[in-house]
Amino acid sequence: MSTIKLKGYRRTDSLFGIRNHIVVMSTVSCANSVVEQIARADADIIPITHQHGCTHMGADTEQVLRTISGTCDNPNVGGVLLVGLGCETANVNNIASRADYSGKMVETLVIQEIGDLRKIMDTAQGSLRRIKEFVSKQQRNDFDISNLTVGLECGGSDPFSGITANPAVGLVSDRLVELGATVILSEIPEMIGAEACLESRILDDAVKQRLMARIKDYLQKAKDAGGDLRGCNPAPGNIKTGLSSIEEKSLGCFIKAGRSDINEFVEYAGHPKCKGLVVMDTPGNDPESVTGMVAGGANLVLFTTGTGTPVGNPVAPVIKISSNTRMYRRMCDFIDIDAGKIIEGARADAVADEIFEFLLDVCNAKQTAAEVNNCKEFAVNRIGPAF
Amino acid sequence: MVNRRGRNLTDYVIILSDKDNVATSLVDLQAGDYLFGSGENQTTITVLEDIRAGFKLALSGIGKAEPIYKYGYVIGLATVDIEKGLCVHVHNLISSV
Repeated sequence: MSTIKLKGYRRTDSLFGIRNHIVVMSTVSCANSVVEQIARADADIIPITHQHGCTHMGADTEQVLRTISGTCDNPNVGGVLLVGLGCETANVNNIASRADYSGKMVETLVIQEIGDLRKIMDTAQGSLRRIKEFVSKQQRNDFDISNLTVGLECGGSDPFSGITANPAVGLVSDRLVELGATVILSEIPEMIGAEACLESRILDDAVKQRLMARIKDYLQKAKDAGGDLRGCNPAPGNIKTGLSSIEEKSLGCFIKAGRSDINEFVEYAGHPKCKGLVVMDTPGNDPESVTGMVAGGANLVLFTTGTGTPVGNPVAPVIKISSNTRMYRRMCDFIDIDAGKIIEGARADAVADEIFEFLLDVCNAKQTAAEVNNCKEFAVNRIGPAF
Repeated sequence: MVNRRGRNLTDYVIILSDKDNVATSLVDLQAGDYLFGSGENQTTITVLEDIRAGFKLALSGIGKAEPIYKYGYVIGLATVDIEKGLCVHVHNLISSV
């Protein structure tokens, strides 16, 4: 059993937040400007806006609702003000009823019900005062690292990602799994070409079949869209660094999942039921993938990058790990740890130790580069058209 | 910069699996650079064109339509005959998915 204790905000017996954020969440794009105005008064309040919440249907609606409610229900969130328009699909009651929001305070505001902008602002400030009072009374408690959920992401991969940063993160992932934590691997299109490695790591036949079918589905979608994945994935930026095919990119990406068995295949923004290593159904698009994992409960994300990227998340710290020192030096404000030093002779396990220690510090309130830089991308993966 | 008199292969490129027919360059290689293996790997390679760090070097001749291996797995097929010592990238490799 693990002996690593962290400090966090207790939501349930097994869910702890490593942050205690207050979020003003837009339930529909029509409310975005109002949400931004509400949050402007206080730098500690995090506004979350997006382009969705209405005129979608069926499974697409479900996914949008699951992502919005899941983000609000992430353990790192202590209080939420849901702001809706009134006539939308993703109305505040719909979002509020989709999760139990244990250990946090949720209030709602509907623009059409209040009417006047000044009244809306007054009502919102009243809600935020109550939420802030509630959140300020919450104390950090000891919790075991086995209650932590960590997402894995790579963005702007280069040929060194699979040689430096991803092997180091793979060692960290294995260590988290051994300690009983949950680790989420995502980005299904970046498994195309790595199926043979993946298959051998999945013990459950049903999980294996569903995941393999989903990978095929993505490949077919790419072909239906008028070609193969070349020019799109790998992206032009990947190709410029020397990555030549989706297989090469995928094989390098998959290394960040270490050597643990894969226990579950969970839908986009769904909550894993299993501990250990699980796979989430997300696209390779970084903000969408990170948003999905965080909506599914990830407390933080380990994000490797070769070409460099500022991408963060509104409620979960994102730890950036560079695959090469050349980029690290150029973009050091955006990067937390340089794994490129492995090329110069540093040991991958020493870099893994460095990442793990940094992760523990981040759990205990240290700010990541993405947090310091106020990088808070929120992007919902849509699976249907807007009508 | 590689010393033109020749240098140990594994200091300048990384071969990720015994099965691989390409290596990833760790430094910017220049045409004419001479690399030699040591221990079990006695390969010698003359680099035939400039290959930037991160790009792939053919470790052996690869015939048109033959698989290209990296990490021990197929990462694509050769679209032309590729001579040992050349750079392998999108100009002579196509995804096989």
